[in-house]
Amino acid sequence: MLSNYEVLALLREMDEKQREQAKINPNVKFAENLKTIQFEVIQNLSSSESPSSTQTPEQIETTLTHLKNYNLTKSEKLQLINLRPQSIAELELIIEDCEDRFGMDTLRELIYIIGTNLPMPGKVVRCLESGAEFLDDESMTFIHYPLEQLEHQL
Amino acid sequence: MFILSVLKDTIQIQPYDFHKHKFDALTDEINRIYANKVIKDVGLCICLFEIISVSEELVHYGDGASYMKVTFRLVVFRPFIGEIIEGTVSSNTFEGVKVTLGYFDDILIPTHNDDEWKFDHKTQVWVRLWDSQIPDLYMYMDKNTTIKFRVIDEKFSDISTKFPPPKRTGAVVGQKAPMPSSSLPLDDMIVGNNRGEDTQNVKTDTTTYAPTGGKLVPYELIGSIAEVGLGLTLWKWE
Repeated sequence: MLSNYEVLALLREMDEKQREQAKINPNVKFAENLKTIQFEVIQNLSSSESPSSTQTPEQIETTLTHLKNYNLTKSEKLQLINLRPQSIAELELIIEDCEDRFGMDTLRELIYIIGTNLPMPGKVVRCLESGAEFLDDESMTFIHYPLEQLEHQL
Repeated sequence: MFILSVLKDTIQIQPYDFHKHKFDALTDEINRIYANKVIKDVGLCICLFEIISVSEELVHYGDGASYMKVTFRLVVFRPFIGEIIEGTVSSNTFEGVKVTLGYFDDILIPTHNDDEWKFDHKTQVWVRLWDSQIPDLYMYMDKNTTIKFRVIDEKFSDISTKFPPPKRTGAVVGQKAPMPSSSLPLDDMIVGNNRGEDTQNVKTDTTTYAPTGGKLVPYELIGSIAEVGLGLTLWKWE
């Protein structure tokens, strides 16, 4: 299995190569179907909504080393990286039998790991320690705050 | 979302490609044949990932092209069942909500097996009940909104119409391009599905992945948003 970022990197590399070839020989042509899918996938994966647009290989690597101790399956880790969940509700979707396998504290840790290692531009993550105060519905608590809001709070 | 599949195929290199490095010529040819195509039970091919092995080249009588057996890995779009994907709503149809990923359009979220869906005739879009406890709060599946769904099923259908592979583009300008169908007969293409890395030989046919307007599509995904956390990303699950 490949993560979205890997596919994006591969396609960008291919795009570079094609551009170089086109520079040397302006008459060179590439298969249209390849160009179509290449363009569409690059556009989709590098849109501002897609987490893969801001990821780097180092970020993914450190995230994976942090996730090692959590006993997650390969496909769960892949989706954590592809989707970058920011709430416990999203985590529960990705992880199978989430409630049986992990406690609320572990899930918070996971969100924190993802939030710090795969940061969303413009947002910071605040570590929630167990026992801290939560909103009424604990399972839905977001711990991502827009930067300005946090500064305001401080 | 993306996987690697090992495939075996006989690739033909035309004489006008002989000036290229063998590796480049093969890469271009494999990409030309497979990119943006659906292979049955494999998925939507994106591009070549790497070439694993190449046999020696053969030249047949009466034909200047060289043929070689190649084993290679392709990047294939094939989400697993249960995977969560984000897409955008492309249209509301009789069957349900159509979702697109930009490069893959045949995703359907059916609305007939569930009471929480209603069709809003005024705006012509499907609406979904937010919560069965609150009767009047509906979510509108408007076009171009981002939606998160779980893949619950996949369907591969055999499309009998076979399109020839796209035209060769390697020919030097001014030279007559050969017939596009001069490649292999598509029926004899042997490809393997690498679920488990071993290349079992399956007879499949490549069909052009093109939304023809007709009902039949080679590869369709069935999605569901009937879970907490799924649905339009605008409905913040806070």
